[in-house]
Amino acid sequence: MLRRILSMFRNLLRKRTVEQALDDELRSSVELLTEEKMREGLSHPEARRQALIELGGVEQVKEEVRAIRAGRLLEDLARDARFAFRTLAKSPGFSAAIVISVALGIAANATVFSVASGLLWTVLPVKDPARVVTFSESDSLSYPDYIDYRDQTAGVFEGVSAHFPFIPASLGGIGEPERVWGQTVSGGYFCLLGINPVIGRFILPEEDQVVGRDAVVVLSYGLWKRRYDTDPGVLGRSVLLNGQRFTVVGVAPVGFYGTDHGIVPDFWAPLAMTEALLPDIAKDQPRTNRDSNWLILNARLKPSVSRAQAVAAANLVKKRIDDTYYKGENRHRNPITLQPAGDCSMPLTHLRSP
Amino acid sequence: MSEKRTDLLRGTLDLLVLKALSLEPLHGVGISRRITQITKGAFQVSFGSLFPSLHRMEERGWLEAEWRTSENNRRAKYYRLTSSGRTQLKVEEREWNQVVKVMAAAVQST
Repeated sequence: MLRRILSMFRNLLRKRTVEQALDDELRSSVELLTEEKMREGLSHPEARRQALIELGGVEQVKEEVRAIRAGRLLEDLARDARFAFRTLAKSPGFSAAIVISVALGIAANATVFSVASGLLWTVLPVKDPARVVTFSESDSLSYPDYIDYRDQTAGVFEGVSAHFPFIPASLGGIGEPERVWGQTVSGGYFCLLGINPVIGRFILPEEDQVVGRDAVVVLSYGLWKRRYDTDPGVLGRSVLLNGQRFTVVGVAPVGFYGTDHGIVPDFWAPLAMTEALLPDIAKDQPRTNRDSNWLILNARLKPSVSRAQAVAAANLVKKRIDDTYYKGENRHRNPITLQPAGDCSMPLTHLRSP
Repeated sequence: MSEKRTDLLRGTLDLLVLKALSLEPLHGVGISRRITQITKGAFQVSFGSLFPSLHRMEERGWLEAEWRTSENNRRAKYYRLTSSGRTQLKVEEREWNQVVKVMAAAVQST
């Protein structure tokens, strides 16, 4: 694992040096081949000509090696993502997932995890933040569970959203590719938060209806500034995320970093695009498998509802799910709790696996 | 070429490279020549296949490389097997023998 991280570092941060080294090696190989053919009796120019033919074209060889390197990068990205996904899905606790993402973040140019998490924001920068909650710090939930919570809690919640917090991606299309981190969010995520984009719009509920259909993306303000120089012309343009074409539809406001404390995403795409961004995940049947717990849920309390009432309602749904599908077994160790979204009450020193 | 065939060929090349380096470190051209030698002239590895393969195996930690002066005072990048490379060679030899046994039986059966 350490060797792979070091090798990724070498590849990402010192691309030029590796290219140079390859150049040197190819040049040296031409000379060795030329020498060999001269020993067989050829003149220098003829030997060199044949050496170049035998090498097969320097550019071609370089392309092959580059392709291997790019392939490995995407392979590694996918493997990292699958690892992060499985770690979250086994629900050993969100805290463990953060530790994993730090380990992965070390290998990338951009890290999804902000060590200064306590300083990023103390109050979630959304409409009426006190009414926005996160489900269970210690358990993530599955997609079928999310649907049940969304549909069966209309009495206490104005809306329930789901998101997958760790999408490692290679961002390309305009300019050099760079490693970024994003999230996929359900159609109601931005509506629930009640914020306004800086330019453009957010993801619409209709854009999360069909898996793989709506390749739209919202950029973070930080990414918009850093890579696109706050150019409003970026709207409607196409970018490549993990080789897939996405259309930029909007930019999130300054200081908005999603709803998970300590994580700094660069982009948001519809939940329905998760499989397109991380193809390996499809093997876990994330849409139908109740045991694949990959999602973090948020909700907005209705105006007259207390958190206690909402917790009770959520746990009723949990019991119904356990009774119907798990013969009444208590599937997750803990009952559903609802933390205020972006609650600072989990200090960094609390990072241990339960 | 189907994916499976490419994998099979890639695996075969890896085994040949590991075998070629089992006695002493060699540079890229030397590895190509040694492979032709140990296959008694049957395989001429193209550099378009060899260099990506060397790069991949170096990333995996099976090979280590360093720049040295060759016999004729030329600077060249020499590859050598690491200890995990030596282990990998044994693994691949064993797997190859297994494949040969299985295929021979399958092809012979009626």
